[in-house]
Amino acid sequence: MGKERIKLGREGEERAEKFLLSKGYKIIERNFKTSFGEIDLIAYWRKVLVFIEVRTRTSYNFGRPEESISEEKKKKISRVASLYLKAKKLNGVDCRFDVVALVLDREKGVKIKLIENAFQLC
Amino acid sequence: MLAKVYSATIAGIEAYPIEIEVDVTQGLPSFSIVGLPDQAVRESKDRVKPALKNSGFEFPVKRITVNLAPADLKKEGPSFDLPIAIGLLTATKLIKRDRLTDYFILGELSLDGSLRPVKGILPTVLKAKGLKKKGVILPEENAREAALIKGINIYPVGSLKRVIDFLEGRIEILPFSLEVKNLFKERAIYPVDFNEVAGQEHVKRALEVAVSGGHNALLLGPPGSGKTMLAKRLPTILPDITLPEALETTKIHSIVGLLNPKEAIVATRPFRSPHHTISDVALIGGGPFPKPGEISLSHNGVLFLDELAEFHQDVLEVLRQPLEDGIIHISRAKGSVSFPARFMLVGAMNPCPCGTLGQQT
Repeated sequence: MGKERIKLGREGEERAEKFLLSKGYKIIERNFKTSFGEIDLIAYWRKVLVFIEVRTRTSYNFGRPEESISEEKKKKISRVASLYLKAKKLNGVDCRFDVVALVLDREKGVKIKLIENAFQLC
Repeated sequence: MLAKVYSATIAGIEAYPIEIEVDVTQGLPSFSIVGLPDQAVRESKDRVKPALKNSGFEFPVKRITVNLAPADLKKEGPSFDLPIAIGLLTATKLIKRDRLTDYFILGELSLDGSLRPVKGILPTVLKAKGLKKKGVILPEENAREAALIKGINIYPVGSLKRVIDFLEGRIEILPFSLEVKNLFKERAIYPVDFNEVAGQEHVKRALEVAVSGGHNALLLGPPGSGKTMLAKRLPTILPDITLPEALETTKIHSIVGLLNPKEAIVATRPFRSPHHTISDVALIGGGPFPKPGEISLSHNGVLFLDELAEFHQDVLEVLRQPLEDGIIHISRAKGSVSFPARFMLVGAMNPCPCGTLGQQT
C-alpha cells in the first residue's frame, strides 16, 4: 500500500471519529488489530456495541466508498468482532456493524455517510 | 426470547406438521435458518427482512436462529416466510404469543408485506384438521382450495399486517367458507363433448366399450383421422367424477401447483397428454424428493400418449406396474412415497412412419 493511501485512510478515520462523536458514539477502541484482521473503530452507541468500518475515497470515480466492502472483508470484520467479544468477555451485549463512508474530494469538499447496521455476521 | 409457530410441509402426498422455533438473543447480528431448509426456505430471510420493514416493523438487530423441527425432514418452498416473520415478531415481543398454538400459518411473503399463494394447501388443511387446530391462516388466493375441507376455520389474509392485527385481536376475520357441492357442480363442465364427433361410428363404438369397462385403448390410424380429437373428448363420456375422487385428484394437482386458485377443485376427469419426449421420472413421478408424475396427475382420468411409438422404450416400460396396481411406489435413498395412479391409458399412433400404410394413393 502506498504512503498516500495510508495517509488518506488515517485522515478518513480521524474525520469519521469526530463525526461519530457528534452523533453520540463513545469510542472505546481504535484500530483493534489481530493477526487476521483489524477493525477501524469500536464504540458504544447507548448500550449497543458498534463495530465500525471506515471507508475513504477521494472521488466517486471508482464507485461509492461503501460499495467497496467485499464479502471477504465482512467475514474478516465478523471474525475479529467475535474475537473481541471473547477477549473482553462481553456476553449478552447487543452488537451491530456500522459503516462510515467518506469522500474527501480536495475541490468539492467532504461528504460523510453513516450506515447503521450495514451488514450481519457472516 | 423463544417463539413457536406451527405450519406444515409436504412430503409425498401427505402434509407433515412443522414447528418453527425462532430464538432471538443478544450478540453479533446474524440470521440463520436450520432444520434441512431447501434453497427457497433459505432465501426466505431476504424476503422476511424487507417485508417486515415495509409493514412498519423494525427488523431486530440481534442474533436470530430459526429452527424448523423435526430437523430430519426436508423443508421445501417459500410457505415458511409468513410463520418465520410471525415468529420473529413474537420473539421480540412485538406481538403476543398466546394465540399462536391454535393455528397453522403459511404463506409466501412479497417484499411489500403482501402474501402470495403457496402450493399443497389441501393436504396441509387436512393435517391441521387432523391435529384439531382451531384454524389455518393462509393467503387469500388459497382460501377457496382450503375451504374444500369442512370442519376447520380458514382465515384468508392479504398481508403480514393483517395477520398481526388478527393475532393481536385488533380485527376480526370471518372464517371463509363455500358450498363445496355448488362449486363442484359449477366447475363440472368440459369445454368439449364426445357428441361433437361426426362419423367414425366404429371408433366411437369401440371407445364406448372401453370406457364402460374401464379398459385401456389404442387408436391406430393415418394422420388427420381424428385420433387426438376423439381421445380429448373421452373424459366426457366417462362416468361423472364423484366428490371423493375429485378431492383425491385435487390433492395431487395441489402438490405440484397445477391448481388454478379460481377453480380450487378438479371437478372434471383430468386429461393429460404429455409430449413423447417425456422422461420416465416425469411420467411416473420421482426426483430426489419425489413429486407426482403425469400418471398421478391423470389419476381418475385419462392419460393420453399421442404418437405412442415415438416414446422412449424405457418410458413405456415403467408404465407396466402402475397400470396393473393403480398406485406407484417411488423409492429413493431419502425415502419412499406412494402416489395413486388409477387412470385410463389411451395411445394413438400411425400405422407406419409415413402414416399412410394400407391407403390407396
